Amino acid sequence: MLRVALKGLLGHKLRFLLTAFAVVVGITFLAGSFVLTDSIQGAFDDLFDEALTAADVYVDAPRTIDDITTEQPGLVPTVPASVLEEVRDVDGVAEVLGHVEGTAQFIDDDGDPVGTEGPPRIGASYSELSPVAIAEGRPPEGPTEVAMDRGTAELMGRGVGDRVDVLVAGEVRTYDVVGLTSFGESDNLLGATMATFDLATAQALFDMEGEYTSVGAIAVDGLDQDELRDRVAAAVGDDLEVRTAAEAAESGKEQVANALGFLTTGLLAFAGVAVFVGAFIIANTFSIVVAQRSREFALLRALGASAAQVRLAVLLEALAVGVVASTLGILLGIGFAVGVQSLLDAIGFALPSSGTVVLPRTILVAYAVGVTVTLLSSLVSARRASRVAPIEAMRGESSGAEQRLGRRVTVGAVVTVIGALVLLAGLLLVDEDANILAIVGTGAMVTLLGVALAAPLFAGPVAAALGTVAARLGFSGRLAQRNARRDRRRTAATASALMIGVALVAFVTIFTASIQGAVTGTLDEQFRADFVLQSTSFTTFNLSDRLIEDLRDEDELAVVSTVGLAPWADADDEVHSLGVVDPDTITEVVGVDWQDGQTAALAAGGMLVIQDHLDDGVVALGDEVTVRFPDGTSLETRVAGSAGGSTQLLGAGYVMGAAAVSAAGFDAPAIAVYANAAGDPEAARAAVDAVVERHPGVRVQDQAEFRQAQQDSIATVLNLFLVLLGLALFIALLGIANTLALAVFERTREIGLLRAVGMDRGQAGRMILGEAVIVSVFGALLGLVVGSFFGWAVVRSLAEDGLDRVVFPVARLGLYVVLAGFAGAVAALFPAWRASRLDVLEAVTAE
Amino acid sequence: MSSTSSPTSTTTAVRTRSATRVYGEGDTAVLALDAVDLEVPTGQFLAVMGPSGSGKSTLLHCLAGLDRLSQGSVELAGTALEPLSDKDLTHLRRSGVGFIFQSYNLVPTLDARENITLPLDLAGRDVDGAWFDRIVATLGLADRLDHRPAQLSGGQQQRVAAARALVSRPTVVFADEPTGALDTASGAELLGFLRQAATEFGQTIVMVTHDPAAASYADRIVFLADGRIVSEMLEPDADAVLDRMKSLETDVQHATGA
Repeated sequence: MLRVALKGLLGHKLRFLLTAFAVVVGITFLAGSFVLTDSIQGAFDDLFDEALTAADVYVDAPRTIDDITTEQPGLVPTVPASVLEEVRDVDGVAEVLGHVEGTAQFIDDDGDPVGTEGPPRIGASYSELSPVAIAEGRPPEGPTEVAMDRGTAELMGRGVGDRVDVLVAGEVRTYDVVGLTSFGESDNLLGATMATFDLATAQALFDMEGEYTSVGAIAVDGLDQDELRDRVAAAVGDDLEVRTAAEAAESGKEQVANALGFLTTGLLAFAGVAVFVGAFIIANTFSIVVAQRSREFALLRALGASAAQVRLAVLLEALAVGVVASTLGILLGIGFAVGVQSLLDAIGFALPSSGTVVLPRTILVAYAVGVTVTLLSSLVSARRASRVAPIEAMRGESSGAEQRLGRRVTVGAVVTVIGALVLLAGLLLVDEDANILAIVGTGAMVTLLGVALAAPLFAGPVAAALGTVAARLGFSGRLAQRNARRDRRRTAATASALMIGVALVAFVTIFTASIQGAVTGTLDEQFRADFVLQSTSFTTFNLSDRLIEDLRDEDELAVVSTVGLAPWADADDEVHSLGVVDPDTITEVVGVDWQDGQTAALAAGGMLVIQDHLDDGVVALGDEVTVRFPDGTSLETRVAGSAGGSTQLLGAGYVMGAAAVSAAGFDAPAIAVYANAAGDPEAARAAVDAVVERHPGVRVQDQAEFRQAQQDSIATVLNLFLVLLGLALFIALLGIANTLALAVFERTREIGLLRAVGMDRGQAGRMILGEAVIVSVFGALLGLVVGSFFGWAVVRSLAEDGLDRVVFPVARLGLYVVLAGFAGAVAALFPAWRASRLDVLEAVTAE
Repeated sequence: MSSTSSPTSTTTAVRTRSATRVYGEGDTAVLALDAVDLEVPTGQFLAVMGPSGSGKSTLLHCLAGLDRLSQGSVELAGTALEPLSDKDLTHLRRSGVGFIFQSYNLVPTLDARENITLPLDLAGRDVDGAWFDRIVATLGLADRLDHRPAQLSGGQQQRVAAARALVSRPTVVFADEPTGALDTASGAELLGFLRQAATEFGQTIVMVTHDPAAASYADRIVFLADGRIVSEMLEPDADAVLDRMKSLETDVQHATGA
């Protein structure tokens, strides 16, 4: 049987390739995701190991609140200088070093910050503790010298002996470049820029005089790291975090692993969709091929093969497809990861070179998924093949009688309902611990499966309706319509693969359109400021005090109101965000409907809660709340009231007055400044522009620009999803090409007959293209229906989070259907070409 | 090709001159047709007979423009086929030629009526209603027009194929073993109709068959062996055909045995 299976494969290489390709694409993405994230992780692992070898033990201020905002300048906890002396006195410490780190941005000749938006722009003191080493020149000394990372230096065309502008805390200063640094082997780290100063200069710049972000101790020869850690810990007390270099590296790796985990999960989700779609294609291909080969199987049976042997032959064929396709997928996936890395490198996100990491797990999972999916997809076909009666070897073509669909449709309907219910249950779940995403995802998958099962029911009527349109385009259109209807299961299966991709695309489109709608609604209602100023960087989003002062000094501006953001922990150590506002001016720029007296309550040190967050149950009206900040300071406040509206413009759902927060000793960095013109808006704009000109990395937007930017950023997310889902759509189109290529093969005699009685080549080609268009539009319509349901359900479930209505962008969704039709036609170009080039004589005389 | 033209008309529907067809090259070359000269007058019902491998199917395919000659020429109603492009040949097949194959003669997704009008639909031509009705009535298909091929018997399917071959009033109807897959009664019915089409409508028909009984419906029989016309017979009856075939087979055996 093995030989029969292999012969079956080798005899039809093209068919084999087409089948395998559906698996290959999915596995490529799967393996590629693993390799890419593993390689990034590997690079960081190496980096941490390398960077944290200078000292044996590190002393840091503990981060009581783990949150990205705590990485912002002003929120980084510090170690007092006295600790350095305490550590120096510990027995076994050979040397002790202090290190400070903050934000510093290189400024180019145009006055703009250098570097890609996203990666951090680091400023640090230079010492043996630095993660960078001097690669060229010498370490910086004194208040006018800086060392640049080599990547940025190259980008800016600077070298040792040149001068460079650096922005720290809102002030640009010019420095002499005395050295170039590198991260191990790499000139730059994921696009991060790094300015290094001597310790005193860095401390002054970052406002950390008498403080360090970290203190490192080097042990005397022969002393164990763990032993030294225990001694240092005993000396400095419990308030500070004392770790060995290995532990520090481990925790750094862990942080990277956590961040990468999201990326991996996200990529794997898309790979999963691709594999899911691929499964449909494989199942469909096997089912067509088995139908086409039923005479062959019957002959085998007539010659004495048992049903089990025939089944085994088909399964072995599937196994071979799975193994070959997975192997190809893994190889291509590694290539894909390497390609992405080079691409990242080319656009400035250089990874430290530690090579491509292919873990055994990657290979195992890829094979397991590829082979399992292929085998599962072929099970039904294998069973059908084994049921072919020997007598069928003697019969001619199958009659193509109408298939009965009753049971299948019933099962499909039940599965659809179950899937929909799971999805809704997942959405309505309030329990935060449950993996809502997994439940909703499973529900969505089951729903899609159910619709795919029931789809043949709709294939007839929809193909008929679409065919009526097609028939207007000529007789080929009518034949195309008949062909689309002749095997409703096949049409439905082919269309279903496309349905999955389109459903997800439609869902994302509806979801983002609804968010855009909600954002627009909020802005219309609440955004009253003439201007808003924000940082241009994603990672360094605070604004300097100097900028705010400059704005306040402007006579053209009547109101300058800042919104600060700070993470805070409640009594249960749960972290929330606090918006820090100026109670006197905030209502002039943001239209929150404060109740009477609430402004006063805010000014008096009370906390206001946005209605949605009150529903979360963290605090209740009238509660006494302890608010703990990242640097350990805390304050007591009372929940003075609640307000309607959105958190979007206030930065957070919990709001306090700036004065009250400052009084507690905490300085919440500003993330946005709202301003209103005093008189002439144009003069005000000119004044603001002039201020912004002096502050690199800051952006000003008026109402229209802000609105547009908000819409654009949502559109960007949509586009990213569309690109990632494009893979699933691509596989589905491949499926259409595959099915039609097999259909052309299957209908060789029929097409020959049509050609013999006068069908010209163009008509033959158009007949196939027409069928492809009908199948793809059918799939797209199914996808729209299912995707609309997903969109509706998800948006409705988020009603309390401000998504007040479901927006169906009808024109855009309609465009998807049209595009699907076009794409289907493109996919069918090859089969159509084959049909039109068919040798008529061979076709009509074929056995 | 008009239904009113007389069966005794002297115009020529099909003419070949030194029609030669070679398959393959060099040592493996097979001479399927060896300088065949044949004229079929308009309105004649011609049967082509011969043993397997005699070249009768190749002759039919070359006459119908499905296959191309290696040498020589074929004319259909005065038009030489050799210079025609694929598109021209396709258009010729739509209007100048009708086909009846042995099996798989109908498009399974189309009903009987659609199958009959297929050549006209492909050409975008209107159906001559009266002519359609007459053919359908003659073939006894009037109550089967809405049926799919799968719902028709083999004989009915071949009658639908015959109707399709005639509906565009072609110069020639080519039939390739049209009764090969039918039972005797259905076969006789179909042949009777082809005879009628030739007699009443003046339809030129070229039929390949190996069945003497089928050939006996024809006006004239040409016998093919090894790619050459070796014998002819006019106004045949089945017994005479059988005798002639036997003698031909003996000749061939003698020839090959010698």
